Amino acid sequence: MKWIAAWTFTVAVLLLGSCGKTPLPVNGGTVVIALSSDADLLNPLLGTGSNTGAVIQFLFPDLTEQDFNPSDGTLRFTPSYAKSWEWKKEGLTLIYHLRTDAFWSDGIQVTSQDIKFSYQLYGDPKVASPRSNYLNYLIKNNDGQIDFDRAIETPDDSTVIFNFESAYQKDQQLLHTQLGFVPAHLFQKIKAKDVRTASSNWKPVSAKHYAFLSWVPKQEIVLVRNPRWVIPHAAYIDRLVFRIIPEMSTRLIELKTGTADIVEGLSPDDAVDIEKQDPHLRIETQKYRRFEYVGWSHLDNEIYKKSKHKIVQPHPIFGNKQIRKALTMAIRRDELVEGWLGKYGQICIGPISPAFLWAYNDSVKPMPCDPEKALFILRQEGWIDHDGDGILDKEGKKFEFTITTNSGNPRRAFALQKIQSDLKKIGIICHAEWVESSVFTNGLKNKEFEAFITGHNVNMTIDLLPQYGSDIERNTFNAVSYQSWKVDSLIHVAASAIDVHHAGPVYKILHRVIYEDQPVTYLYWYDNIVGINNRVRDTHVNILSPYYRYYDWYVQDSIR
Amino acid sequence: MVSYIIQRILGAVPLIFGLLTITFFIIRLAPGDPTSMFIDPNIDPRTAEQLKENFGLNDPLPIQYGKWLGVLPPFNGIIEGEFGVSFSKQRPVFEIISDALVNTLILTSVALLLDLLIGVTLGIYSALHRGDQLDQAITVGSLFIYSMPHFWLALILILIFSLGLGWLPASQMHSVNAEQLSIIEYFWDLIRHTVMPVCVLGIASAASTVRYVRSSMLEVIQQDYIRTARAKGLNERSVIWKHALRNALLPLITIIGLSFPFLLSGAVITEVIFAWPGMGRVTIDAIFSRDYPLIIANTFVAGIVVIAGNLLADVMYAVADPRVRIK
Repeated sequence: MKWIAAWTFTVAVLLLGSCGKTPLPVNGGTVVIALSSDADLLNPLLGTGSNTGAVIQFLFPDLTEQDFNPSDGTLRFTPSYAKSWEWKKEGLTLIYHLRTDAFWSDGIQVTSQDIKFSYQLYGDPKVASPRSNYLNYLIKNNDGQIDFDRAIETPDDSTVIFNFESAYQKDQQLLHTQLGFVPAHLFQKIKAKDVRTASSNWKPVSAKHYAFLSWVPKQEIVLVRNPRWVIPHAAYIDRLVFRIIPEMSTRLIELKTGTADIVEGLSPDDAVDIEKQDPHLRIETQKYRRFEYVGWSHLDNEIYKKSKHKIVQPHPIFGNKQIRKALTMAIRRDELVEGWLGKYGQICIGPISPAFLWAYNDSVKPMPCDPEKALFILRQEGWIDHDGDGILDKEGKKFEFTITTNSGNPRRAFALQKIQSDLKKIGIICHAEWVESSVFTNGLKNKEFEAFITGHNVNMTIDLLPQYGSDIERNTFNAVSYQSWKVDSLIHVAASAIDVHHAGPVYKILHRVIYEDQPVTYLYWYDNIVGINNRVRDTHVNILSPYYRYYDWYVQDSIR
Repeated sequence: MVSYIIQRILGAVPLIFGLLTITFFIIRLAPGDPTSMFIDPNIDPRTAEQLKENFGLNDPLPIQYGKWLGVLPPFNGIIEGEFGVSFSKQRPVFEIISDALVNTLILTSVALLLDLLIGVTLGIYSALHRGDQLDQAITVGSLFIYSMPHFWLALILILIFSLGLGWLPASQMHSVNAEQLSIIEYFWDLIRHTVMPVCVLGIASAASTVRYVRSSMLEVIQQDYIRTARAKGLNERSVIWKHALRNALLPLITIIGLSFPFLLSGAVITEVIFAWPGMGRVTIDAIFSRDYPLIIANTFVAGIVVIAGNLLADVMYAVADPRVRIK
């Protein structure tokens, strides 16, 4: 009898133990990721665009891995190719201690020389790396050029030392030294001017969880598992296939039919549809990295252009802060979010991501969506419908302007039409203009538009100077030509704080000052919506990346 | 005939050169520039400037033209057959085009065959059975398909045959891991991927071919020589297939010649929707990224195809019709 009781107890314990237990990851399988466009060059020195970055992150080593702490919104850095790191000389020197068991896919050991050599290429004008600005804080020589002999030291193969001109935020120092690096033993044979056309950019030698297998332009890029890369553990999926499918509708159908496993950038409607109708799919979102806004030019574009960027005179309408506030109030941002984004977006009230709790000022509240109050402010500023034609006018001039945006973006097209309709209700004529993306980008840079809708992808560290710095010739991304000495000095104070927690209170003040000035009308934060087939387990889409901790992914079927 | 062809080819050289020269200036004068993808708050502003310098875009336009021709240092321009390196892909432009051209030709040549097969067959049937129910159905059907935009037809086919029935793949030329298939399975996989884009291109073109063939055939069978053929006692089959059809298809030769560039340009939207890696996508990407060398090389290929199509039509016309044969 005792024997039966013991046996029953053991079986019960085993059964209970197995209930709810997640299956253990297994090696094998293929995961297909659908991309909207092909990668340009598989080289961290040169690659641009999110799709190129999506592939490169699987191939090239990082000194540290980034993690996000949602409780305070800060970044955490954990060891990767660097085992540990330390600061010396009061933050002027950052020393990384590297692993000695990492190898490139051609069998050569990864060493500190690869890092130094890659940084030299980043800094070489002939290479024209899009990330050369990350080197701005390294020690320079008398000519203002980076002195690589002093800036980056490699006393041995497993130590790399970065020396900065001045101490600054430690998180930023870590980020600025996280640039991907390439195998020096291959690139040393290539002249700097030929780095862009090197065949290694098409058949890269890599050193991470995956190795390059093949690339058929405009079709697919195939990576295979590199079992030797075990930081923090080897990847489980055998093959990653990036399929290039330019049309969104086709990508969506590939996801629904199971031909693609992961598709980024779904529309909110598609996400809702998937959640209702496709039990084999799930939706994960990358929040608070992208926002869109209406830019109002603060300076008179015509005079600025005619004077060859010499005469800065306030714009006759948007140069007035009260008018900008009234326009913000007249635009029903709540309806915009509800009408297009639904649960995949929220009203934006400034350039600081709500995820950065240490810097985001939650006491700043969105301006009310109140057309009547907007009209009241406009009347106070002299904009009244004198001739009874339903259009506001002042000194004989009607309240009329053009908003420009890029074509081919349905979200911005919807926003523009809604803004036109909202402004018309209070007697403002707003013309819409759509231009091709390249023309739009150049127009923003050259300050050609009086009003425009554009967006911004925020970095994981805050740097507001390019968009809000008063030196409008230098800060070319300050497309509205916003100028405020108060904001300039606050940006400077925040950037010079060594610790993010010291910078936090400054950013909170900055957040309030910018929102009160309304340099632009902030519209909404929108999510990067990612559709994932349930066969792919253990994905962790988060603010950092849709592919965060990709080495944890596994599949447990035999479909692919 | 041979000297005529040589004459035509020699005459095409200045034509192509003029086309490329006009393209060279138009794309440089158009708004936007090849480095606009580097205009981003997260990218060093010096990058765009440096790349402009590297690409030679800071030179005055006449100097750029001289270098492009190859009459100025470094003396390797299009006169030497050097079309340069793609700005966006950093590869020789013809390397990029050669891959894409093969893929487009697979698509468009099969589509052209389908076009002719359906168009000629239904056109002849329609003409010979003018006014009956099937003729009316063909007329309505061809007008319906002809007025249908390619992208709409493509999406409808994908919705039905990929999402609804699951019979055909929605995009690309091959399935994932296709390289692991046997040769027969690999070709079967290619055929399955080809069906929908070929149908979109072929059926849409066939809709107009049906109308051409029908009207041409109707015109021919009312001619005196057809009545004469019947009167001298020839059987109906000989009258239609030997006498009427040969003459009715003469205008079709011109249409076939002109179809080559049409199929290349018409493939742009089809290629984008079906993610077919052909010339259409290369052209679209080159234009959007203002990849000047690639745009010029695409124009060169398109110009050659147009001229070759016209030459082919003329030669075929001469072969088919003794009245226009050149001595």
